[in-house]
Amino acid sequence: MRKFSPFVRQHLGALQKQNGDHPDANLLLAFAERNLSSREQAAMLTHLAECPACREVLALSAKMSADDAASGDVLRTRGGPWLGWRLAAAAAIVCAVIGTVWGPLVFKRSSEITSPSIVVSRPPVSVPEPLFPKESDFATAKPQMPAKGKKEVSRQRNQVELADRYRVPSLEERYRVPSMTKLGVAKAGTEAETSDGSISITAAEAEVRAALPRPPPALPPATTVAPAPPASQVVVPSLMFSAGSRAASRQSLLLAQRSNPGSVWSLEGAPAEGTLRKSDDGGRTWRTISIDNATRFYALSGTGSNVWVGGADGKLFHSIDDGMHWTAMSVTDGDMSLAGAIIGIDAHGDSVTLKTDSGATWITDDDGVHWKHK
Amino acid sequence: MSLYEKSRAADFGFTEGEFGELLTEVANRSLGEGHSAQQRARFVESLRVDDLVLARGCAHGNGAAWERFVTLYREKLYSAASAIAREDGIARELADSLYADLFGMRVRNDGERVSKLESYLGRGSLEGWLRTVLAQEYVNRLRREQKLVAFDEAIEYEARASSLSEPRANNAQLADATDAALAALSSEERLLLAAYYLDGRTLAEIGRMVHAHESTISRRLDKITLNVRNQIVARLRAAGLSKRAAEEMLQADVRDLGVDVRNHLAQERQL
Repeated sequence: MRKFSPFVRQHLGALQKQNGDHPDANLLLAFAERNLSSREQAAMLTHLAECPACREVLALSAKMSADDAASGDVLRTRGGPWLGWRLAAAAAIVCAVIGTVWGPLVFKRSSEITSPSIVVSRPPVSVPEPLFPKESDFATAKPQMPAKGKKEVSRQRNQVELADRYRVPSLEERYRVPSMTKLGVAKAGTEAETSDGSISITAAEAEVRAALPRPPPALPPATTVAPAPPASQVVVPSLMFSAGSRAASRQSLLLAQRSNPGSVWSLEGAPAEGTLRKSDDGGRTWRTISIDNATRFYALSGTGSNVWVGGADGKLFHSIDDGMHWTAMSVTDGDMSLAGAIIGIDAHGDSVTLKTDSGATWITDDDGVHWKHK
Repeated sequence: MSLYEKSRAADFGFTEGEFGELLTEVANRSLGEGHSAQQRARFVESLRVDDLVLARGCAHGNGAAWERFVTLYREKLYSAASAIAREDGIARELADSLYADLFGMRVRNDGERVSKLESYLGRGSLEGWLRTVLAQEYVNRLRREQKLVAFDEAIEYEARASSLSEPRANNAQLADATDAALAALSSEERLLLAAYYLDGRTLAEIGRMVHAHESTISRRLDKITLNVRNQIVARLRAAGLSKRAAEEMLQADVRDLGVDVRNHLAQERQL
């Protein structure tokens, strides 16, 4: 544990309240699932800072959510041989189709392509009606004996689907991979599936594919669960980190965060509008994020809960809490300061690289405290 | 697709009119007065209407709703209880108790049974709400049990601890500076400090609570503690102390002894 004066700790403890009113489960849940208004959020933070009981509830709830995710992993391995074969066969068919249609193109271009790959999160898919056996005894909770035959296979399949629906990434998953997926450049309908269900593409591939007849979109329409984002927002599009000439072709950016399940950022309509939106439930619902109404944003990136947004007039904003609070950043190096529009951001941990429309590059390795101009 | 169709409210016996009334009631309970029609519409759109009608259907005793609820959530409820309670018996009791509340074992004066599901407002997933309610029940139970600690033991412990941590006059400046520095923090910063230093949670646990990566929490805690320390030192210097004296006062506070003895006493009590 970090060193912190016990005296200060004692004073912090004196601020804690042991009695008083507590927010109900709806508000705690909305906080946990990030559905509070800014006013409610502020009030909830104030209460949590002073209420050990509600912190305990929140922590337990988060723990159960993580445990549930882990049990989802277990369920997945219990699908039985039939389910395993079915999934394998389905995966093989998908791979064959993708390979037939896009394979030659991808492999032909791959030796020439050095641009960064893109991964965009997939919106939630609607789940079929569960087929669990009916239970009428609400008072007891005896473990069910497994049924046999087709019914059992059907039940297990639905368990897997439900587990998928409610699953959040395990801690191992969160920390093994980069905390935020790469983003990228693409035009609508040019994505390809990767093994983890995300959609991947490279910038150059996107250009080539854009010239071809459009394949069926890999992203299912977000209208499976309304309210859907506006059509222009059901996205694959655009350029995450690019040369200035590409900025004009950009449509919108998606930023999916593995560290915060369900958290997805969208920079929509850049450069004409550059509206920043966020979804906390994997794309089911979206809200517009207002940081600076006078600024049009062109670039978006992040790692973990760090989110960087940049745009016209060299405006750069940084959030370290996944968009709850924003800090306007000043980008200077000695006497030089960033001029023009920021059209690309690439953030990895404390290291952030900015590209401007004049072709300049600015780099920081300490989370924006010091910048170097290149 | 309308919200009514999306929610599948008809499956659980809601007419469009009743569904509209339900949304109005939820908006009134959540938002209160003083919101525009547009704000209310946006709020309603953000609700988990499918879960909401399921919960209300159950609360109203709809058989199809209960069938779906049991299918989807009963097993999860019991496994969630097992996850938080260390003993199987307690977990089972906790889940059974909540299950009874959800079903509605209490009866109003007018003879209507009251289901806890009536209080779900759709502001998050029903599954998340069940977890939260379960956690609240568990924490309430723990706090009730803690109050049953032997009375004389508690009195003796408090007396010994407080005698060791009597405020000293020469620490008044430090106390003022500390209070001012803590008051200058945002509520979120105080939450992080309290979760880490008072509750003893790990960075990963705090990260899960506030939706941030543990490395972010680590960085923020470093910044906050440094900031608090610097502010205290600055205030002590403003009160006339040298920098060295201020830092020494912060590090070698006599009341640290009291805290250590408290910890020691707490360990003795556990033995």
